[in-house]
Amino acid sequence: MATIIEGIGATTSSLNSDRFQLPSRRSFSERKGRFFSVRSEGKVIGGSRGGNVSPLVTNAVATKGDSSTASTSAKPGHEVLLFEALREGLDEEMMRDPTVCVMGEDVGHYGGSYKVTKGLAEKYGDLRVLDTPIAENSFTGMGIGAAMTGLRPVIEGMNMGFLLLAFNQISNNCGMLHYTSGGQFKIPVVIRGPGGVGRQLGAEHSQRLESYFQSIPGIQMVACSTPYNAKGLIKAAIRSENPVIFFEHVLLYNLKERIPDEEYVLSLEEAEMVRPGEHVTILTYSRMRYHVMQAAKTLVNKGYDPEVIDIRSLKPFDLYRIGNSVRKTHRVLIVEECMRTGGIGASLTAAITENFHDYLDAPIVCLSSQDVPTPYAGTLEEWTVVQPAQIVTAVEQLCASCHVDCIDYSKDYTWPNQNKKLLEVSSCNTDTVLFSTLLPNMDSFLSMQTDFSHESLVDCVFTLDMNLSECEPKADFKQNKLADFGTVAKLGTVNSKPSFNLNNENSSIAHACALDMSL
Amino acid sequence: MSCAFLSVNIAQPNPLTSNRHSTNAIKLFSPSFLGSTRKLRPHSLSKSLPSPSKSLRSSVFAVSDVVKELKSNLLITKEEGLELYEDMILGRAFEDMCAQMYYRGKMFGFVHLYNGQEAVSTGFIKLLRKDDCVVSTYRDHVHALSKGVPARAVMSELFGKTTGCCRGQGGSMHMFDKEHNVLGGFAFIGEGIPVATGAAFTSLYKRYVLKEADSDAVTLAFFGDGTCNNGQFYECLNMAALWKLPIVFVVENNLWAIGMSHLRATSDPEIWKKGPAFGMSGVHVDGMDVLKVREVAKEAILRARRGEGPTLVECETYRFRGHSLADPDELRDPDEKAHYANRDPITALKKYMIENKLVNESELKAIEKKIDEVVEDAVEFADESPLPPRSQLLENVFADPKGFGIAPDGTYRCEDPKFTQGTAHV
Repeated sequence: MATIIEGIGATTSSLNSDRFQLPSRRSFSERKGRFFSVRSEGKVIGGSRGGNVSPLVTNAVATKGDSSTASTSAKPGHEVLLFEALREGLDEEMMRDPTVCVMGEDVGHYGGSYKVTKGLAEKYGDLRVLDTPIAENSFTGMGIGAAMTGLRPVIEGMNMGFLLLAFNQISNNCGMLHYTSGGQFKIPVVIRGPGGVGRQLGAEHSQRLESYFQSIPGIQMVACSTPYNAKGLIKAAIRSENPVIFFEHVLLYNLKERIPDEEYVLSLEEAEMVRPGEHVTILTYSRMRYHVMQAAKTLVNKGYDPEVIDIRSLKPFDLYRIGNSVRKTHRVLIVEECMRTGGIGASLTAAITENFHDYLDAPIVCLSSQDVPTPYAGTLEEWTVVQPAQIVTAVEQLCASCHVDCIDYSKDYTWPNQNKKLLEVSSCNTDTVLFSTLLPNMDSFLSMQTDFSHESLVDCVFTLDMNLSECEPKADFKQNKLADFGTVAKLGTVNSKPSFNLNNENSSIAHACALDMSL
Repeated sequence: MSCAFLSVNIAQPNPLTSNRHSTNAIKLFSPSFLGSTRKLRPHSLSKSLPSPSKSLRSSVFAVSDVVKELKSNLLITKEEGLELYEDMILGRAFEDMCAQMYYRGKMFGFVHLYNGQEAVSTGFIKLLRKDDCVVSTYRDHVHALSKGVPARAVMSELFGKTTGCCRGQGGSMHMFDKEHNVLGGFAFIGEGIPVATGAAFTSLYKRYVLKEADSDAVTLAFFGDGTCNNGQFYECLNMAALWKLPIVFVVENNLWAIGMSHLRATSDPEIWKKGPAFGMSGVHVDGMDVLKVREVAKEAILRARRGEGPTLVECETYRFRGHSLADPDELRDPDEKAHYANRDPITALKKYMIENKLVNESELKAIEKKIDEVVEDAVEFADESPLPPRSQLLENVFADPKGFGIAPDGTYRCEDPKFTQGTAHV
């Protein structure tokens, strides 16, 4: 019942020569404009690692208003709307633990302005579902004080934007108090509320606070996007000992999905694989997930294979699943509703660049909302947020571009086919066994393909058989980059010591190219 | 009603004839006490050192049932008197030692000393049980000491050592102690009041939701006159009165917020009046006299414990030193300082006890000597304690360190043993 989708880790355990798998559906003649990816991994990635393994929804392509048919349970569950899923989660946790309470404006008798807490006050009483006066800073602080003395409050901001008034308490007390008290007091609060751009709600009701809160040390942030993960995450957030800020989206409350009857809790720190793919990794969260999935339909029709990951955990990022994906596809597109400046995408870009720079073949593209207070007019509002058409264009551009990793030789040499680009050169790898097994296989593969002409080649990779005896770890390129694109042509041998800027190698290639380009 | 800046002859404020449950008698203040920074409140100027019986009737405005029931003239027994004296001496000696240590370079940053205000801390906190909570501001050393936090722990915390009550991570302005229910220590003023409200809420919750019938823990929130212009103060007064939370709001009105005189900052400087505006009792008390404070405190705490709601107690007090050790304290009138120095709470209590033949000099001297040793020992302990090691850097950021997330290799970052040293990328 529980399927674990984790990038490539689940399929490959180690690289040995008979593990090269070629995507069978692509024949070589179709390669123009596509990527030929040899699935190989230079690193050993064990089976399922990384903390809690939780059931994930596969291929949840739920656009707004459509009912999703995804379900991870073998027997049918029950259909709920997202706000009902949240209510179920809250209800179950309140039944399970009497110290869980809810406080916020209009959560009790009114049932919550988005009906998330409807019926809970009748069931649990006015003290457990507390209607507060309109004093965000103070009732957030009250929730924190209650958490310090033993309760587990769920604090609701009627709109996330109102929590700006509670910033003092959230930053100073919620985030820092556990630390400044030397670990004596824990603050197991959940601060939740809907945010994001709605339908012409105006600037102040359309704020995305995830960017403002993300620097606060000591808090976790999660964003739910489907009824399934909403219920699982709210339960996890309530059970967590850390303060969690739980972002919901105003427009997602009426999503319908079938969720399991039995109890389930998701992990707060894990990302969700929405759609596995090969060509490009699209990272998104909250409402933009649906814009991405809409764009994904178009992209699939156009022949692209995007991998869509809903990062869910905005702080901290799940760099494991993201990393696996980047290692596989080498291209990253981040689609978010946050503002351009200092948003979640900006942090994510930095994190990915820091950790996975070597695996990237193109700069990370980040599509965010415009840096503008959300206008009231419908047309203007539409243009502030990222739309599916923009996502499609971005993916197309991203896949078409390839970064030239070394000197562009096209200036010095007239390529018979102007589209050819020199992509990858030399690899000095500390693992000599690995490298030397790689090349012969590439070579033998090449010789199997006898019917290609160089007009159909768009991208080429030239590898050199290196003398690896004096390898410097600094010049370490990963195997998969070599094998990722196009054909591999064994040009020749460079017997010199690898140079720091690959100058030696580059000039050898130029030389070899000049001599023999009759592939 | 009252003018902000000009010292004119204003009409006297009308007595608040409230038909709500606040039955406190209202004193009529003489006019023109709102004025320039150099004007003092006339009623304080005209008083000499109060004698016990006289002061009782004129300054305490709570209709104190406790006082009425007293058989004897004395407010305290010998044991209680010694306890109060010891606590105040501890507070004073500790703060003086803090100043010494600061100038010797043993502690840094902002250190706010409590000299002169001991009566408020002692008067209130010595009436509490262990499970009652205290929330304070940055001027919190003495509140922690009165509540029972060992002097050693507080001094180590000030020195930034790992044996401090917050492992050296909080510092002067963040004194926390779970065992003694000291909920901090907050640097921003007004920030602690909602936390205190929350602690009181828990007490109420435990009684009515968790059905723990004996849950009647009271929370005390201490803050200053400057805080009384802050929104959080009013919001919490509202919520506490609305839900009848077991909390006492104690205003330590020392007339100065760093260099801003209370009279220059507040449209109506009588803070106790703001209580009845929210439907709770507002009491004004002479905060330089520990016995008066204690009487008012008894009533307020009992009221909270009985579930009758909060009280706002304004203690007129004074800090002998500057706002912090970095404050040159040039704005305050030396006459004002001298006036309050004459009303030193420790001297007053000493005089009271000796005049009423509760104790003799030698017993008090013995206490002073004992406290000196305690403070010396605290300094020694703090000196000898180790500084926090590098591995402590990220240790308490999360209660559940899984919150640091999953590293690129698939494991949780917290599983890396060196992670708390802060060397890993996050």
